[in-house]
Amino acid sequence: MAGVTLKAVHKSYGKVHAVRGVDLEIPDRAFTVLVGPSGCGKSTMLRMIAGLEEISAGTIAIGERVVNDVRPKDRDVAMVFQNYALYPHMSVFDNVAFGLRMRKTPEKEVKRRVGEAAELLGIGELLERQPKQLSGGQRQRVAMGRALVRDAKVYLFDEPLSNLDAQLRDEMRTEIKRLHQELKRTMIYVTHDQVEAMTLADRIVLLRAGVIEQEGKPLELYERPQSRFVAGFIGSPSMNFVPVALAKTNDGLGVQLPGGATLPVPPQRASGLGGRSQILLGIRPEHLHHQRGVEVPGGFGKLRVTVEVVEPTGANTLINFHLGPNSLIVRLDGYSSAQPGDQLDLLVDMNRAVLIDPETERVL
Amino acid sequence: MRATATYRRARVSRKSRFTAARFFVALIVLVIFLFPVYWLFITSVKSSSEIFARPPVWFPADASLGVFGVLFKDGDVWAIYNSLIIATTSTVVAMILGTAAAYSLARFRTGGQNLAIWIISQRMIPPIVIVFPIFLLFVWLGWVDSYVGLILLYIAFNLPYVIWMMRGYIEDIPIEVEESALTDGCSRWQALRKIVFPMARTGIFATTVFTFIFAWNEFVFALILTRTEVLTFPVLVTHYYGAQSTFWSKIAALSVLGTLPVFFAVATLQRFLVRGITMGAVKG
Repeated sequence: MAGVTLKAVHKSYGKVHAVRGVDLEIPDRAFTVLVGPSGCGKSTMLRMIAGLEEISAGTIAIGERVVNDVRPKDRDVAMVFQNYALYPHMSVFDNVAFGLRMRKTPEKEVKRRVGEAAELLGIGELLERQPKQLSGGQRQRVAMGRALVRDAKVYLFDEPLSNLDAQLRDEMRTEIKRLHQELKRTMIYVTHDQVEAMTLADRIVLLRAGVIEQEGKPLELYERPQSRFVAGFIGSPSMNFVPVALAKTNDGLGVQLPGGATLPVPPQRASGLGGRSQILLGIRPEHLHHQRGVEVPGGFGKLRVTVEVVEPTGANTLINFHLGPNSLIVRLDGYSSAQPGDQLDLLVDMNRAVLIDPETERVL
Repeated sequence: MRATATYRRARVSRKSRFTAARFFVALIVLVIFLFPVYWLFITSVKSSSEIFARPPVWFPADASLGVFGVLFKDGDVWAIYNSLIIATTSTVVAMILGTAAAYSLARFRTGGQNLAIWIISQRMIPPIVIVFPIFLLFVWLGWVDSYVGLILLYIAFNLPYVIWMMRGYIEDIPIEVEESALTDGCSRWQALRKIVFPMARTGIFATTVFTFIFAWNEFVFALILTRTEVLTFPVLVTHYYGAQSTFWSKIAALSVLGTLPVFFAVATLQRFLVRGITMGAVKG
């Protein structure tokens, strides 16, 4: 096992600058997820670590060894591809055994390890089959087996679940997490799906346009995003953003929402706002609550809205409403009897709201 | 119940009538296509009077393989040997060079977008346009009536075709499969040998067969660029067609011999000419 270190790594394709000076320390034995929207450079970074793309500048080291000029076969990485990339002319057994045989592993050992990997992934029954005889989920497992059977320094996953249907994807996600807990190997996983990133990662690296926007533990990114982009990307449904005016109130500082309501800014957060008159308020749908009594707890603000669309998901109810021109969404626990057109009293958890500078889009 | 049974019987009889009709059409097509081959063979074993008999002789009374014996005795079968040497060598070399070039075009974008089109455009030149300049060149190089001359010419003429076809077959192989082999511990050559070539097998065989058939049948270059030493079989066939007399049975016999290698090549490789080997590599 080994960690991976990227120092000032750049990648350009002609005029397109896909990765722009990334510095990143990927810890040994951790599950690190590179996440971001399409074209943010996450797959390029993974392919550079694997040696499938040359880097334009900077250094990549696996463990202590700088691998810039090392061929993929000598980097000791194993990779799972988005479209599985099984060898169609070989049986499942030969597919899984391929990497071991290329490294001249004795055949007895190959048999034992393929058997173990097959058992781990539940593909023992499939070993004699050809890839074309397998379902999508089975192919995915074989592709995982082919990587995990090896004793590689780093395991790379390039959006391995994106071709599976929703239910299978959830199952495999749990499976991958279980495998990492059992095997404790260095895994780097690329996805554009923030739910996958949140659930799998020990550590998330959120990329945007070839640079790291923020990295940290999943809950750090969720609770303490450093920019509007991170705040909006992490969390589902996405965070609500409303431009607000800062206003003095009897109790201190407040934010005035479009439509007239004023919410209190907790005193400990007011100091960071400087002399601004306008900011962007970010509130997660789950940090808006239905007010059942008359009391308003400390740090909360009160808001009356008109329900527009109700989306029950079973465990939660999503309710859409407008504040001025801004469309917002609230997630209420359980079943809500609210109907379109109803008035709804909401409590806004201002301790967990995010205050953003509208010009720099950084969190204040 | 009875209505259902009647319906079923009607359906079965309609189905079998359809099968019979299909079989009948296939038979007619088969007869149309195979008749020239039959006529060729039958002509080679007929006597001279039977060849020109009217009405035509469909089944010769005293078939004889004598003319084949004459071809062997007179050494005319050397033309088949020459054709084999020239077609096989040029095909093998064109396949090796062409596949390497195609891989480079497909995987490394060599020459940008347009090089591949430019290469295939070379194949569009009518041979007759360039055969005389080539003749003059070959006279100067001393390559007229030599193996090396025709072999090089056929390689040059077949390369664009091989490159074009193999580029398509290689592009059909998902690059991730090859990349997977690279991370699994293969060098580029090993990935080619163990993954790319087996997956492109269908294309390699198909292209080989067509390249061979081109070289085997080529006539214009061979006619102008050979004299006596390396006559190929299509050229020799024309020698039997004279102003004074035409040796129809020799023409037929040599043509039968000339058809056999192609027949065997296609018959042997036919099972590889079926697509489907790449199925299952990537998401289905």
